[in-house]
Amino acid sequence: MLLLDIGCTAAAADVDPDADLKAYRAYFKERFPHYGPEEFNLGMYNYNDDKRAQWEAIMEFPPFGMAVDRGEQLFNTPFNNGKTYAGCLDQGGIGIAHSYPRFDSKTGKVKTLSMEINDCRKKNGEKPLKLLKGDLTKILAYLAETSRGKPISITVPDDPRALAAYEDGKRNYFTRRGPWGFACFNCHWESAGKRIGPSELSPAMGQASNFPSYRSKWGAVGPIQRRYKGCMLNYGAKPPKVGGTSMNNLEYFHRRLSNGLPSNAPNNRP
Amino acid sequence: MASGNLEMKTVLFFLVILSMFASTGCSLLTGDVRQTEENSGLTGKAAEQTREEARQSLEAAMAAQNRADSLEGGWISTDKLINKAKAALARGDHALALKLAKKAKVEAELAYKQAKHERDHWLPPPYAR
Repeated sequence: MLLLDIGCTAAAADVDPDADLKAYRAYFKERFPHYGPEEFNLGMYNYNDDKRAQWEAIMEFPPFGMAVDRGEQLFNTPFNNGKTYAGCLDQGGIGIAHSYPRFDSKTGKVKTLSMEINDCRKKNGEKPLKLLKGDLTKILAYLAETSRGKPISITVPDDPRALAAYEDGKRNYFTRRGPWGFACFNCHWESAGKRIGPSELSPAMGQASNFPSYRSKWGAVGPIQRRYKGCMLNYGAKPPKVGGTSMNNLEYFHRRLSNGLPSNAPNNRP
Repeated sequence: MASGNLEMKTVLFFLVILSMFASTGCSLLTGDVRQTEENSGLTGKAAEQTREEARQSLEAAMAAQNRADSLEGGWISTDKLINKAKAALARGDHALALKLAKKAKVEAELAYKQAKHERDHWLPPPYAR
């Protein structure tokens, strides 16, 4: 029932996230034989020396710095009841961002770090924060900073519900949408290294390790679901609901593509 | 006396000009519905039929879009067409509303077909299996 609920028709026995990851890594290694973790994390900056130089200059005094500082302040400010976010999160929230999203066996669903933060707020009598902009993104920036350099570690436990969520995320990733019939893979697998309009296309492996990211276009730090939404809107598709099951499952699958790469967030992108 | 007559004539002249502008302005500002229906050549029962046809087409387009959305497959362009059709209907441009609504319905049906096909037949490309 749950499998059908989230639109997955594959039986749990057919789903093998480890075999998938092996195949995906083999593909990108063949496409980019000289790339190591640093190159995959660099993404689009591999393909344009001028933009790379600009990025290097920006990273000397990164614009997400203020968001990180403010995020630390917000994270450490007690709720009205005197408790803090640290009380809700593993390791007090420090050095855990690289392992999100996680599968939550209690709810049977994928849980993003944004959801953890808002759940913590609700438990402590506070209103949830907006998902794509504002204070939540600053807290995410701070938490990401505490995970910098740690290998991305998204696990899919041997639980039919987790496997179904992973498979649903995979379906979302490879689903064509919009009037031009684009799916994520069209740009970030086959066309990685090429351009669409003025933008160089990053390979899928390494993308998620840079989020949450400060984007010049946003003038702010934003989570990866904000990027998913913007990208889908760019190709004319109505995106699934941010923070909903489909988007969370997509993030679960997509972030796992970067497993093993050092967390590189927050970062700066155009 | 002569100057008084000239003044009177001048005032009357400007009053006539003003009243001409007033009536034109009124019809431009408030007479859009009448103007559009008069321009379409439809009046009375025919106009009512066109309005009803446009309204029903718009409802059908919105239902089709909801169907595409139910599979998370709706297109942005369809929402824009529907909003333009609603605006056209509201201001009485029923012919345009009908045209836009029909186009929106076609798009929404295509979007639904796309989403349904993807749900039933999605597969990673060969190099990703």
